[in-house]
Amino acid sequence: MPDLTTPLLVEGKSAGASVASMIRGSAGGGDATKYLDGAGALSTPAGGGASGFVQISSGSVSTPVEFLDFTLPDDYSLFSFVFFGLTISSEDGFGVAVSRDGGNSFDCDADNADTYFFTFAMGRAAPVSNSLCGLGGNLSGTTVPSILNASVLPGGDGTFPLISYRSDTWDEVLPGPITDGGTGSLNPTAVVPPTAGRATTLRFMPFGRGDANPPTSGEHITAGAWIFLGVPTP
Amino acid sequence: MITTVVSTGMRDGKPFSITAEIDSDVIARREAAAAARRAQKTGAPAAPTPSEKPGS
Repeated sequence: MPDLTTPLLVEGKSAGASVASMIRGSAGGGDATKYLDGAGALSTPAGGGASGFVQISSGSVSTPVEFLDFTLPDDYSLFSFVFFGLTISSEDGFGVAVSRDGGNSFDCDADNADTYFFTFAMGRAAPVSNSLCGLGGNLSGTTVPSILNASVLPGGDGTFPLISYRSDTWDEVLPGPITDGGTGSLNPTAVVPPTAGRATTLRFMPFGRGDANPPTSGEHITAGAWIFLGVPTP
Repeated sequence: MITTVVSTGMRDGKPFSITAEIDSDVIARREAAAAARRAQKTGAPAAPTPSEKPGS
């Protein structure tokens, strides 16, 4: 039985290391070789470099879109998203919803606003719940490039996906910087409780009206680029 | 009244759109909740909304 108290990244962390070297796992001379797989067990990636991360896709928004969907391949145990320079058409934050059926439907109850809960959320004294997993920030028309990092454990039989994020944005209304972060998951005690299972698709979008099937706010992602990484299951 | 909503996005980097029939009353209710949520975040007076309630 693996020791689940072991930190997610066993090695490869070093103060002052660059993001690139952290991803490669080379910072501090260590190799980040152990990760939790979708079933909650520690595993060692078979390949993809020292850290095990491989690039699944990258791209950018060239014409405004209301959402970005990403299929999570079955044979990966951990995912990481990096969004650069995201802007949206209204003063609003960003959010994500989970699908377990290939993107046909998404866990999102906009009426009861309790589908997701955040156990750790910056600036909040107590856990909060909402219809989407909020990813912070105000991305409206900013001229300062934002960055949003999200790590996703997809979950599995009997377990929920876990989404951890950090976003650094510039709020033109304050004006000033906003750093936000937190860890969210599906809420088993929601009025309409989601069922546990592996996430198959993620939908990133402006928070809008808090709905995802489809988003109805008419808000658009007007610019931005992404890198989508994953750790193959050995 | 039922409203047809067409939402355009991208799936795995390719254009992808969704068409749905939604009651306009439902959309109005969601918009009101979203407006209250934004007002809370900016500190403006607003009635409490389920969107920021303590976790259950």
